Amino acid sequence: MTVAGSWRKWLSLEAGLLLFAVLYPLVPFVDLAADAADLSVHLDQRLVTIFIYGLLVVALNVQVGYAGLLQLGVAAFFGIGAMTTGVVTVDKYPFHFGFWGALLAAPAVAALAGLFIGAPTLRLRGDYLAIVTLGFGEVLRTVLVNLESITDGPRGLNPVAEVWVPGFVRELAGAGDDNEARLLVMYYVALLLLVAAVVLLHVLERTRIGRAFVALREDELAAACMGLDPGRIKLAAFAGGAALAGLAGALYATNLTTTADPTNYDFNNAIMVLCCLILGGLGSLRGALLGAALLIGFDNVLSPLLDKAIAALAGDAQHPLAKYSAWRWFVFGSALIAMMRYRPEGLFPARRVAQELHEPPAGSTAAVEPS
Amino acid sequence: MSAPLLDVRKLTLRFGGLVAVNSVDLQVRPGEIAAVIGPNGAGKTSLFNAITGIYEPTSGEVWLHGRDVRAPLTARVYAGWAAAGLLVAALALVSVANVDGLWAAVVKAHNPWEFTLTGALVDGWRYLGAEPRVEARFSKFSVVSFDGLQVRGSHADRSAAEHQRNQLAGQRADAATQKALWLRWLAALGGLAVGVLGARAMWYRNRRSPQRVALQGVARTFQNIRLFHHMTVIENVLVGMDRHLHLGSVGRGATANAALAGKVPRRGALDFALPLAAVGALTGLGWFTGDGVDDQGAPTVLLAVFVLAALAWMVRIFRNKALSSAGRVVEAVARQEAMELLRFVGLDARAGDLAKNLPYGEQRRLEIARALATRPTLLLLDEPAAGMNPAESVELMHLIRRIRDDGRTVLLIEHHMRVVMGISDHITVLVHGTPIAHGTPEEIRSNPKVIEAYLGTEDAEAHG
Repeated sequence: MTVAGSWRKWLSLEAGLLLFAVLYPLVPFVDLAADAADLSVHLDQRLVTIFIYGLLVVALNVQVGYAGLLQLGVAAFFGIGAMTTGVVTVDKYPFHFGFWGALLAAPAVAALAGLFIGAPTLRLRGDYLAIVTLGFGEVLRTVLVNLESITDGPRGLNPVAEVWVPGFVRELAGAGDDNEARLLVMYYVALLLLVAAVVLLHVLERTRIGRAFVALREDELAAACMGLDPGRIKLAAFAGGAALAGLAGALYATNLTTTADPTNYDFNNAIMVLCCLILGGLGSLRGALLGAALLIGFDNVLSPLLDKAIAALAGDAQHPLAKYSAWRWFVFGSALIAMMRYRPEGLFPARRVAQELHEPPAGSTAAVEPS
Repeated sequence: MSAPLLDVRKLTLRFGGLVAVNSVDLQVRPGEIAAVIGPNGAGKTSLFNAITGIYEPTSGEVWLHGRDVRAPLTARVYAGWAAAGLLVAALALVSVANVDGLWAAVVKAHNPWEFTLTGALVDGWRYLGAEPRVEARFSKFSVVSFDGLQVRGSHADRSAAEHQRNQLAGQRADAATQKALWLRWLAALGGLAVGVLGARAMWYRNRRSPQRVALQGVARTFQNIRLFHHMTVIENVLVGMDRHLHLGSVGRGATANAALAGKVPRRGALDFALPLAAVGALTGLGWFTGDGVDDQGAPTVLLAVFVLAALAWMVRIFRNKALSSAGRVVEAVARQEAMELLRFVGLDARAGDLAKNLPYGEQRRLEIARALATRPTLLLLDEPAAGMNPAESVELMHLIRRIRDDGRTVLLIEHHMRVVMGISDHITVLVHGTPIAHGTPEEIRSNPKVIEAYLGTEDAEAHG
């Protein structure tokens, strides 16, 4: 292969976006340009949120996209990760793991919870599993709110340990500006974890584990007759997805420095994450990331930007309804409906999932008929 | 004569009132090609499903290699039940004893810097035993009852309070304490029962699962083809090979393959070192930055180690397209073996096509290749010649003979009499789930009962 050829291989959309993400905090030209136009949006803060949700969508993709387990309780595992981070880092409890310790503890606890919920329920199929996980999510949120002596209920545990900042970053960010330094570290940690998860899963898709997922989705009985253990494979996907969601929860709690407001861990959030996944394309990592960027970015970047632009244009004459954020759910809903009508497999679907959606294989659900 | 490889003993399968398989005895010896024939609805596929663990027989047993296919009841199984029971019991006990209260008694009773693990265990045990405990209240140390409702005494220092608590320990005769203790015992025992019975029920249901039978060397094809339609031809075979792709079993696969023998590395040192360094550095970071350590030097070095190790690990994984260097070689070996299998059934030219795009006869052959990929000792073929033209059936007969010559044993269901009579060593005839004849093709061909079952008699016509 020529040098030019090998270079061209790396010149893809993903590589460009990754380069942008890596360089962005060092060369904040977007923020400078926005500042110049008086439209400051703190893109780096919002990018951290997008990375965290990206991790959550990728986690859900392991369960829904790979293993075909329609689960609606992903926000519960997100919440378990956040609460674990709170418990192991706040001052008033004796554990004091710190941010880095919490990054190990949160996914471990979430994975345990995943095993515990998964073991008895994964025998259920399709809609039934969706109902059980939905119920689990709601029950868990209620439990978290009501275990008041542990989680401090709706007030939440705080302050959660902030991300630890090494000295040279503090100097780099400018003395006295601890917020800037923390944001910088948080940004790179979230990016690194997201990229690590994507690389791992990208490779996993191409190994025997990835093949086992596809085989199980296509025909569970035939896969079992080849010696694959459907229960164990599904449980692994469930626990693995739960661990990733727990990791996202840990980052989320650290970013906010509180576990407050359990509405972040409820059904609406789970549906939002599922929407990201479906919009982007079920089973595809690229789709999952795109979905997170579009939907969370839509909420976090586009709508404040448009609001400011409209306010700048209208001045004092602004009608209260002439605000983009007042209409954003309308736009969001219409986009989803259009999407379901014209492209149900998502923007960047996995090749196989798209085929499966368009023509379900004849033998996949029918029982073996006795002759 | 050698001992039977497959020994079906008095197998009966009932669906409600319908008897699909009625007390069937069937023996298949190693190296044989055996066949099960019978009119439509005779229960042949049900028999296959019962053998491969898809259906649980109503009664009767299936033995393979001189052993019952069902998982034996070993000490490990009992230990698993006990573990599940204890886990559920502990959860039930903690929920009844109130999680909030337990947390308050164990974690919140002390100042954060006075917390010790042994102290926590002692406190937890006392709380679950409904003993009085010491609580810091309003800058005094109070001895309170297990539910925190009654204050038995107040002291200025902790040791005096603990002394009084130790005197009160064991005096748990009051009604509230007795009731709490009863409830806790009830919850623990109930949890134990639920856990053990639940684990036992799960085990009971899974002791004859299809994957368990498959792992004992039985592979099968299906009457209505059940390929993984949206996977490529070679991927279908690779799924069949899955159980042999554990890294532990690399050696066998590689030595069977001359081109790659000796190339399979032990898992590369970096495969271990990089993740170990990353997780180790992360743990160290947690340790150093956890409890307000001001030292900036060591954590910065650890952070650098973590980031570099994680990045190097990711790049390595991404370039290798496998989670470890050994995994990559295993995959290469597996692909070669899969191609050999496809050549064996004559599908090597279509390795990259989607399974659903193959013509019918080739799909049947792919199912056989996928089943062979599990390296079975016994291959069950459910109507392999269905829908094939005469030329294809002849080809299939050759294929089945070659499979037998490779040392595998074959049991098939078939309606094409030319195929059955041409290749079988033994034939069993099922009618309405009941075996009516057993013998060599010549014996079966001339057996009056078989002729009656297939063609009917005037008597039967009159009754029907």
